[in-house]
Amino acid sequence: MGNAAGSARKACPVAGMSRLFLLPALMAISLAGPAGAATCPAPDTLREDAVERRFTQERHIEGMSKPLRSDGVLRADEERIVWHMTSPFDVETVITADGITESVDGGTPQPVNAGPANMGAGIARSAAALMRGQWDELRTLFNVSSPAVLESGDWEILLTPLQDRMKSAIGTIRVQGCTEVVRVEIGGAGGDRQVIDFSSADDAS
Amino acid sequence: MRLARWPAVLIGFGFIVALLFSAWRIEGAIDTDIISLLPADTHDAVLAAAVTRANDVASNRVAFAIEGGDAVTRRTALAELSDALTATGHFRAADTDGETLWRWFFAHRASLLCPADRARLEAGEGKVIADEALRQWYAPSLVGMGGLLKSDPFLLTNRLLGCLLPGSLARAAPSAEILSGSIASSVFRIDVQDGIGSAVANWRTTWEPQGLVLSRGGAVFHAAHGAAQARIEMSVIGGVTLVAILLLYWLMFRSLRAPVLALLMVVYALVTGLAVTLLVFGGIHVMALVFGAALIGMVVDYTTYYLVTGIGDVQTGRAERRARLFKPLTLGMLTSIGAFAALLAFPVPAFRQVAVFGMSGLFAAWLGTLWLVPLIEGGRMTTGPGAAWIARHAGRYLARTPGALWRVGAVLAVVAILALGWRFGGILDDVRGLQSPSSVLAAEEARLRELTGFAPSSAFILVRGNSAGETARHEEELLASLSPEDRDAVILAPSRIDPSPEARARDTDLLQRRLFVPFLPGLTAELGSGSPDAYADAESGDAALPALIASLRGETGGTHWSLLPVSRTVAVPSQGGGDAQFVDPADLYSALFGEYRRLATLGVAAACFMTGLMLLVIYREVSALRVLLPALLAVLATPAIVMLLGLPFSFFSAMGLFLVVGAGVDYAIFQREHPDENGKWTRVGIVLAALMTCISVGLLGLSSVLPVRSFGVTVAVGIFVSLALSPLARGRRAGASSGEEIAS
Repeated sequence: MGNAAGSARKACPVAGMSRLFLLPALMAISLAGPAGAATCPAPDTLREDAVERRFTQERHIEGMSKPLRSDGVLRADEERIVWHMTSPFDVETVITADGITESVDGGTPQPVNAGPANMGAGIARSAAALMRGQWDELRTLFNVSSPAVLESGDWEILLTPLQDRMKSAIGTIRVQGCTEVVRVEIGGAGGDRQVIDFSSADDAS
Repeated sequence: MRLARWPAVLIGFGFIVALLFSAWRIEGAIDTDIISLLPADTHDAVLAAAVTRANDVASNRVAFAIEGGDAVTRRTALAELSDALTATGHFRAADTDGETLWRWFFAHRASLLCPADRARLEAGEGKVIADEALRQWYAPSLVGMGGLLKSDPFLLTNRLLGCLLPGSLARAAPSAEILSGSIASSVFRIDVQDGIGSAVANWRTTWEPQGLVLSRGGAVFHAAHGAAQARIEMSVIGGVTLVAILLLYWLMFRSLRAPVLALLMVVYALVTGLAVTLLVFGGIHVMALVFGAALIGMVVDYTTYYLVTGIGDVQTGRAERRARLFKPLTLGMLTSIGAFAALLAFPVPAFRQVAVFGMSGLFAAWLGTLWLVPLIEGGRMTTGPGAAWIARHAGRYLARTPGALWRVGAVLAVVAILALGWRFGGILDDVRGLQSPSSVLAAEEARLRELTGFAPSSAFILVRGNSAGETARHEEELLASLSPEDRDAVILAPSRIDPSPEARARDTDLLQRRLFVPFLPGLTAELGSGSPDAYADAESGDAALPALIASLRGETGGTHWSLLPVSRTVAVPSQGGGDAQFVDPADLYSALFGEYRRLATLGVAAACFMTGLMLLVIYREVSALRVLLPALLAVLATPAIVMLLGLPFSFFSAMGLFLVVGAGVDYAIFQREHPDENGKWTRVGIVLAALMTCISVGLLGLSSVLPVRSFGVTVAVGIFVSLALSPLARGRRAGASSGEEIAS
């Protein structure tokens, strides 16, 4: 699985804004040709109660000499979502229905103030929902496009926030995967882009 | 004898002038601010403005909790509720204020500090802030905020947003979705209540069958409930009253012209009273309007007194009928005007307005009854079965002249009732006790409070100053002097978000020396971008002060003030914060109602005194005070009886007693003036007038609203007691009065 995801990433490097123009064509391909669907299950068939994935996140900000790169593990189940960044800092963010806490270097979890953290929590929740195939939950926040089939056989879905303010803040979210989600690309407008690649948690060992 | 028409023409002309004048001046002339009822010498305009503002802010808040179903269903339902409420044009979701706040914090990021960050910088721990900022740049939460790299690499704007805002509703239980916001218009507007109510009702229709449960919190729902209740009661009580009055008139006169005439006179008196009050005061308080209108409701009696002169076996002309009525009606009018005039002695603007309203209205009613009604009456009324029955039965009781023993017995009975009433009854001034909130809404609010801590509170600390800056400084001094527990009770302090110039200068200096200079170069180097001058020209004045903060500040008569909403009672230190004061509007209103009750009770006593004085002046004999006795005993016994019926004595009961004095003295005057057999139909008139008042005002006793019920029951009981005791006014020289002489 991890290899498949890795090859998918190599085959489908993120191409920035130009990909947006390709999207309608890709969607048309997915509707016209069933070839891709034969190799990857439809995304709405993904269902997992609990997930654990390694992630590598890259933040590209205009004017920044090199992207900010971080690694860690995402764990999600019915009760909570844990976004544990292990490098370059050790910060564990835990999101539950009771609120958001943050623990630095294994220290005591501290409640995180509302405000911007809610946006981060929203992103993490959305990512967790993606991992677990909770499309219904995603549809309460996003307009979910039909899956487009890429050359590699992976599918790609575009999530557009339903709320205008969220849309203007984060732009669109591009999700790519096959038997599981392997890449999430957020934003793109204004030179602020975030790319998160997921892989099996076993890859770390 | 023919009646001259020119007085009627003048009355008609006066009515048209009064109507046009009232219509011209009424817009914006009705004062609904309860604080302006305070005695003029103690009226604090700043306090009044602050209480009004606090009520607006608190009453406009709303919150909803959605429970049941699964998370996805709840979230979808929440979005639909938010959209539906927003579509009404009256609802503003709380998160829409976030953008304004963010702009404000961004504009002032180099001059504002969270209290915790201020402490850190003062302790030389600026590196903590720098390290946290660096970590956050790697976290997912900063998506879409890349632009801050150049202008706010320390992410101070986000820190301010996180620490300076009041506690959000974020601590909801896992099984609930929360929507909070405010109502952009007055929650007392019917269209606003209907719009919001309709959106909620439609939502319930769609989602409740799917297992979702909605809990609401906010004054708009209580206002809507009260309005709906009032509409039902007005329809039921109004309908019953109308039918009862029409039936009564039919039974008395076999005519429907009588109620039309009575209604015409009521309208004429009300319009005249309103016009004169507007002319004298330039405006009128809503409470004066309500009580003034209720009190001059006795004008319906005047018409009745005239109409009964036309029934019976003896046929007399209109001029004779008017002459027979002239003296008692004039005396009744003069004593009632005297009673109202007593209110002029009180330094409460609304009481004076009631006085002017009542006096001018009654005078107009007297004019109309004597010079207009006889001309427009049409044919004579016939004696209905009801009038005949009253003449036969009740009249017999009223025609008795009680002996000394009976009088003493009546006084002793009243004293006994008085003692029992004050022993077992109670007094109610607390506005919370005067209200009867919906049990459904109360349960929903309790649930909401359990889930989120949402508890609309209108309590606040009021801080004053000579300028906006000085007020902010007083506020900062006050916050510094509060105990930590009391400081936590402050929900929002405007100066934390828009501080005084001095505090701003201190924070600017602190940030510059302890954060920007030592740590900004290192942070920008770590991030590989950002300007070392990111905060050099950060301060920008073009961001508008968020409405949330602006709504808590004001200026009245040259005094600047700000209010700090608090979640509970806070002990404000005498030192620090200028002349800051803790204000709980509910306590303030309760104290106010207590004061009004005291003043209104004194007013009733003064009205009795003035009536007695006028009786002495008019009759020039001490025995004339006997006319006052029935009303006096009724005024003493009525509150006690009403208390024994389970209704506590309040300001509203006291105001009802004015009507008891006015009507009771009228009954007594007619008893004194027409005491013999010829006065049989006069006594029918008294009974009919009492029945009219009991129906038109007393039926308010059926209302579920305690103040309205108190007023109605007090009037009904008082009128009945006045009528029952009216024979006490009859003198021993029955049949020798001048009134009878005129009639004959």
